[in-house]
Amino acid sequence: MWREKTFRCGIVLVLTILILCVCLPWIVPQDPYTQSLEEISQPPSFSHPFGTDFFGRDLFSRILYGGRSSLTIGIIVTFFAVAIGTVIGMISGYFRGWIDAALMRFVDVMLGFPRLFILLTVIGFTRPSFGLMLAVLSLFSWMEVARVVRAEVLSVRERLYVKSAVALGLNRRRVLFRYIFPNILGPIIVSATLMIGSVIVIESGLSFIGLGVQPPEASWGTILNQGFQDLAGAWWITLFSGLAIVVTVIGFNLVGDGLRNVLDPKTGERES
Amino acid sequence: MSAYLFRRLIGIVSVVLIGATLIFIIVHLAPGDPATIFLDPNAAINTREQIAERFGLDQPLAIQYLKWLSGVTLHLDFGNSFSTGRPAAEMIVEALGPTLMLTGLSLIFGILIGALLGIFTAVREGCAFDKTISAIMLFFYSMPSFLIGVLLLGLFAVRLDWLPSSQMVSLFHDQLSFGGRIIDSIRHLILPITTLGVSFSAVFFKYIRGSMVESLHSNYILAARARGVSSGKIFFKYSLRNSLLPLISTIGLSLPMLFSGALIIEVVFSLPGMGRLMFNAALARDYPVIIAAGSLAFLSVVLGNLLADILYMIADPRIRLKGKSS
Amino acid sequence: MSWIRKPASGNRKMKSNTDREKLIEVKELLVRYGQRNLFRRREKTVNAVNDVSFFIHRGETLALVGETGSGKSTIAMSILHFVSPDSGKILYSGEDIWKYKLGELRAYHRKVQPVFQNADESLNPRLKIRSTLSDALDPTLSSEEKSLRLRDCLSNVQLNEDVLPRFPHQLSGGQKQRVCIARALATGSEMLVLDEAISSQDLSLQAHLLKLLLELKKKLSLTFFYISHDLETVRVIADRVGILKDGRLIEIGDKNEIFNSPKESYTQLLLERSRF
Repeated sequence: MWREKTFRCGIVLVLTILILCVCLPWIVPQDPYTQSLEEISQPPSFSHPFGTDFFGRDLFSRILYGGRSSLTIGIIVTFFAVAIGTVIGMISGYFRGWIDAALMRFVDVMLGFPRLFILLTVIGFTRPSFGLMLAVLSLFSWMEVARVVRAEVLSVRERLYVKSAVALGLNRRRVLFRYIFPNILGPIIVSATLMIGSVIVIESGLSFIGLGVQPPEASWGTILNQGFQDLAGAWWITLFSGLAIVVTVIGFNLVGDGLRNVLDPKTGERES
Repeated sequence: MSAYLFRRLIGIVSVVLIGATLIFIIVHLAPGDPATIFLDPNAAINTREQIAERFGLDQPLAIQYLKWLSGVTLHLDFGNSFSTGRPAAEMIVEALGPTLMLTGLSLIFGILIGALLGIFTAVREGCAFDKTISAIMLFFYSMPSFLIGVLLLGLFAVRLDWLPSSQMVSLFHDQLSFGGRIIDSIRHLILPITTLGVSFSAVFFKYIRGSMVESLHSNYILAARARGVSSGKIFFKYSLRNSLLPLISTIGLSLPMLFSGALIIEVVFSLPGMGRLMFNAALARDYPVIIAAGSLAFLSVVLGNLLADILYMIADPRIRLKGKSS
Repeated sequence: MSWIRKPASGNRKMKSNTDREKLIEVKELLVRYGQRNLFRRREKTVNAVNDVSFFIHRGETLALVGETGSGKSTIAMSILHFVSPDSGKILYSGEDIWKYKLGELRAYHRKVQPVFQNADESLNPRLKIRSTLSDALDPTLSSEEKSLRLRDCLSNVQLNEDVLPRFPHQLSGGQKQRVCIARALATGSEMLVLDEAISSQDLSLQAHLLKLLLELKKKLSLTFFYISHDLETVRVIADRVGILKDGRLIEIGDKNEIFNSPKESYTQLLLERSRF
């Protein structure tokens, strides 16, 4: 796994960003919330590596803090979406029959909902909140995972080692958790990694139009929105917040692609 | 095969009905009373009741549902918008035009560029061109589409002032000559279409290149090469044909995009399309419009899936001749 | 090793077929593959197994020979309760296995164990050999007893204990197949269904495995249902042989009868081909 170049680059990017966002707020010199009238809209300089925003807040710190929000949302939503999707996919793939048909119909229905629209509707009705956004995003992202998991389960359950396990008289739960689940983990992890990236993108979009993270909390999307207000003038706001998103998502995509290459059928499943 | 189709159609009808019903339920269940939005806190008490009555909001939910369902299935009548009073269906049809133009053209643009580049780089895998293009595409793939839009806007509209930054047409559009009007529209649409187009092309590129590379590496291609089949023949007859299948289904699955609209893009560029319509309707809690727009979007997804399945079935002989039970 | 199974008492040297206990009886087995149309009726069906009847006596080795696609594996899968027959019965000591309830089914599974063709695929790549084999043992045993029995299992198949902490991909092909055999025996089985278990291995391995199987059969009084397209191994291991063609059992009888004086022309054809 470590030999895969894509993976290596990606992991480097992702870890750098993770470390920065998690640790640096304790070490960073500037408080992202401090407003300073004298320093409004300053371009990048020594004291403010990314410049300042309309309220004189240091952009670098804001972006780090924003990173925390965006990453947290990405990881939590992915976690729940993968959990839900895996359970449903496993049930569907293992038991088949009418359960499978019903669940897949349910997946079709859920997939039919234009995600942004639902988010808009629900979030627009109530006050936008962190928890609400997490819930809605999780509830509408699990479907793809369920499909992938189901396909994997359908394929793995035909393998001889699963049949042998059934022949040993093992009960269903054991077969599912000891023989099937560990052998479908690979694609699940790949999906999860890629999903983190896409959730971050969606979240930034939501925050951009004002329905995601709310001020004074920051996420990369909200900072981008500010940048949009003064596109020509304070270009650094747009640039750095945009860059943050892109670099992070590239990182996760590389990790996911790298993992997928490792698990590719032509090279066979490897112990990683 | 016709049996399969028939079953699918039944499935679709049920899915659509369930979906539309769910939309209805969600919308009505969500907190927030549409009637109170229009109200000044100081308004008379019975004004609220009047509004509720006018829009039929005071009747029990079940009755509202039945009335709505019959209206929809029989007359395609989604009721009148709370904001503008016009029939919701009408508003949607109006907004559909700009959206379809935007997304349609962007999709074409995206598919063409994505497919061409994807195929080209897959065939010349590993060369400098491939690496560069792949890197660039990865970059755009990881970028939210609205960010691309914002950047393009910033550069071309704001900084350079070459192109207009919003709307589909200028204020004086009607006064222009026919040719002038066309140019005006184009000028307004270039940025949004480029934005979405680039975004789409990154997605299609990744997909097509991936499937082409995989098929080019597969055993049967190797066998063909060993037999001495010429490269060109390999390419067209085998690789391309097999990559075509997932491509077709991907296109089918992208069809919903045509309708749901590239929502945020429309907001960014202030285009009067479905996306912006939904956005405003959601904020204004304009139930009829929300439901109408949602149902349409939902339907488009379902039809898109069906279309993709049909195309896939036609193209893939394996599925037509499928044997093996249990 | 008395825990593995009680040796059959007094069932040796039975001469006539009718005297011996029928462990497995297959009656008019019919298995179809096909497409279902809208109304759940099958169109374009193919009879993978077509009206096949035979029995397997306790303690014997019945070999089923046929070309690929003749339906041999399907029959094996039916006997193993993996593929349900469209009509016909499979009886185990007189009981219809497709009427078993869950508990009875589990017991049946443990008595009639498979050894598949592909040892790589037969072992869970994520489990150590120790875990795989432990899964085969009676779960109510204490861990000491389990260790003891694990050691017995391994010695039966002439494997060293050092395979226990390893993963399947760390073992050689021969070792893997032997682990599969050990696992099949660890459940206290009385019959093994060997689906191309030998003929897919390297030639040098085949001889070893055949010898091992014959020894085990004697030691543990096993019954073998041996499926193969390779007549050479059949000749070594089988007592009776059945010939399967396109889903039909066209000939069945004692090994020597079949090999020396086959009645059907197809059988003769097969024999001829294998001589090269």
